[in-house]
Amino acid sequence: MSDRPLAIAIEDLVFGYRPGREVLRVSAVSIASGERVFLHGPSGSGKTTLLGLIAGVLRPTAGHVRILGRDLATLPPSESDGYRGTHIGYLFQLFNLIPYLSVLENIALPCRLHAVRRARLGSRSIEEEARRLAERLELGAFIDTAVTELSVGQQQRVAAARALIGRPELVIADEPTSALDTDLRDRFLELLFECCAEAEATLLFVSHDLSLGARFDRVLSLPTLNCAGGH
Amino acid sequence: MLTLQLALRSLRNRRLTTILTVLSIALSVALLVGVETVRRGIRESFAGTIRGTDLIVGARGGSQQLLLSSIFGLGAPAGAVEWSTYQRWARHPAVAWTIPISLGDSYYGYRVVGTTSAFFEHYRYRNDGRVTAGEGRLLERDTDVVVGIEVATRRGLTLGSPVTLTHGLRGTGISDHEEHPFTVVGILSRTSTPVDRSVFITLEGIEGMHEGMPAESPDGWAQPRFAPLQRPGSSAPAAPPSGSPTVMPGAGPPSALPGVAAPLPADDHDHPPVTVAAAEDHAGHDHKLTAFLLGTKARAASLMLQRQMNTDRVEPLTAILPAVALTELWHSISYAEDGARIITGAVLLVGLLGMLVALYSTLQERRREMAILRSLGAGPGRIAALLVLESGLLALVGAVVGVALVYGLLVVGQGIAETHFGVYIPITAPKQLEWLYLGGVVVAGVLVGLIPAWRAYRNTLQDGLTIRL
Repeated sequence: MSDRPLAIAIEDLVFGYRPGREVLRVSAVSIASGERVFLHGPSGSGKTTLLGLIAGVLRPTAGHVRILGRDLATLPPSESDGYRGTHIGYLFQLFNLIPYLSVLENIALPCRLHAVRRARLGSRSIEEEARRLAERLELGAFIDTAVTELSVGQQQRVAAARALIGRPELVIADEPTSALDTDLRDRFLELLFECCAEAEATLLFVSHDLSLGARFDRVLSLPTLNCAGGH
Repeated sequence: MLTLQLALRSLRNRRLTTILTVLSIALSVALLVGVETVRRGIRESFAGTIRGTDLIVGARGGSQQLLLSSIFGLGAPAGAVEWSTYQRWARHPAVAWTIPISLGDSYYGYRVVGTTSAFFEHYRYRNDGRVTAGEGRLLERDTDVVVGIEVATRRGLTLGSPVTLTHGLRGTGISDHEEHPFTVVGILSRTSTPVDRSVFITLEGIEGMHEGMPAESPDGWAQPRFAPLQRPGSSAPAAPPSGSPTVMPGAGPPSALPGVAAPLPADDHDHPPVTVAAAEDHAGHDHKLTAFLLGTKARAASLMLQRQMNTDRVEPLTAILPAVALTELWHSISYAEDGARIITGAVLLVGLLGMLVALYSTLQERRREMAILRSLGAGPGRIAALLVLESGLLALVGAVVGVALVYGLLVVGQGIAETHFGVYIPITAPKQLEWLYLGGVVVAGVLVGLIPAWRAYRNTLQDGLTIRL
């Protein structure tokens, strides 16, 4: 794996929303391609800020965040948006879906927004791939259901399918299981692992629930990584 | 393309708000375009009231006064024109035809027009429309009455109905010419002009009606009777309108009342009918006209004739070019149009503000959606574009529905407007001004959309990938 660039490389990262009041200071984090990393981030640990920096929505005050070797802070905003959409699949804790689009349309969105993800489908059409992923994530019976009528577990699986379509290199999951009960949570993790492996995607999984950490290749703790004052 | 699809789906998702917003814009656009259409219809109806006449001639006075009194039956004429003067000008070599008009009597508030067959031959309205009998025939005898369609409908007149005319312009009562009944011989086709609200009789009919009314002013019967009637015995007669050369008829002593009047000559009802064609032989009589219309042999002579008439040394006259007077009149009342425009503009503004409120109020609940789109790599620009597109679409659909509404109403209401208001509103393709309005509404919609778009743009930058609940 050493021939592929690091999925995430953080060097001497400093960030503050206002000058002089830094909320995040991380000296070095490297996540290799294909790794499954658990990031333990209790609330208040700067988790949201770190994810914003990795996704290129926030820009570091100092230091670098490189995604697949590219420092997003050097790109103009519109390009960093495009870079995120092309290379990162993102899963929220809740309410991942656009309410006025169907299940298939929600899954298909990244391919319609980004030509690279569309191109990675090869000869398959967007709809075929969306259906395939829906089946893969055990959503076959709900393809025609309005997204507002899906259960939370089903919604999270639709979101996972959307994060994975067009095989982005990095999948970031921000507490995706915190609203699920234990059985659903285990099944969801299992499916997510399988699909990430099939897509050869790096998984950065953020949660406050340390009990999940054992299933990952590596566990990072944000409170430990973050040397900013107060943490 | 994707943004457009998202905008459409998002609007469809909020169906009720979308429909209500479109409706409010549609109604305000309909009002705007409707007022414009009606205004144009009224203006055209108004301008089309008289066509083909080169000059309107009356006693010396204001041109608006002459136009309003002789053609629209509104207000009082400045005075009267001597028959001899009329005869003199009618024989002028540049004059092709003339229509004498004698006003002053009424029938249940409808004005009575004394004229000759020349009226039906030469009077034109709208696009070369002639005044024709829809039922019965035109004027022949001096007891004949031809009524406009509205008079016939409102008063329930049919061919053969006896008609008693009133001296003066107020209802019935003090000086009905009961001793001189007329018979309806014709009902005119609809013209959507004041003709519909007029009663036509021959000049001889008017003469016969007024003969034997000793209290009349010695000037004769054709004196315009436009001023409010006074109760007999009323001490102070109302002041005659400025320019009126005589005392007011109808304000005379009680002996003017029918029944008290001197007995009519026994043969009054029996004298042989005088045909309208014989009207030219009235030169010997000493009576007056209210006004006359004339057509020239060559249009170019109109200005020359007008100047000659306005400087007539025998009798002070006012000659006006109908088109010029109509335009002047229209301009003098155009402030009402401006008022209507301002109000409809304000209504449109309210419609657009309603859209702004509808879009803006959804922003809070849509922050989640924006964060999702952002996580999927949509830039803040695309999110702002989504909102601008939504408001642009609302305005566009609203404008189209509004225009369709106007045309729908026109199809339904055209007949009603013509029957009840005497206004013929033609259904035409949208004109430049309407297209301008429509374009303006869509542009305004887009501009209004910029406000929530800006807000959403700020939100997305602030929220980043945080989903606010």
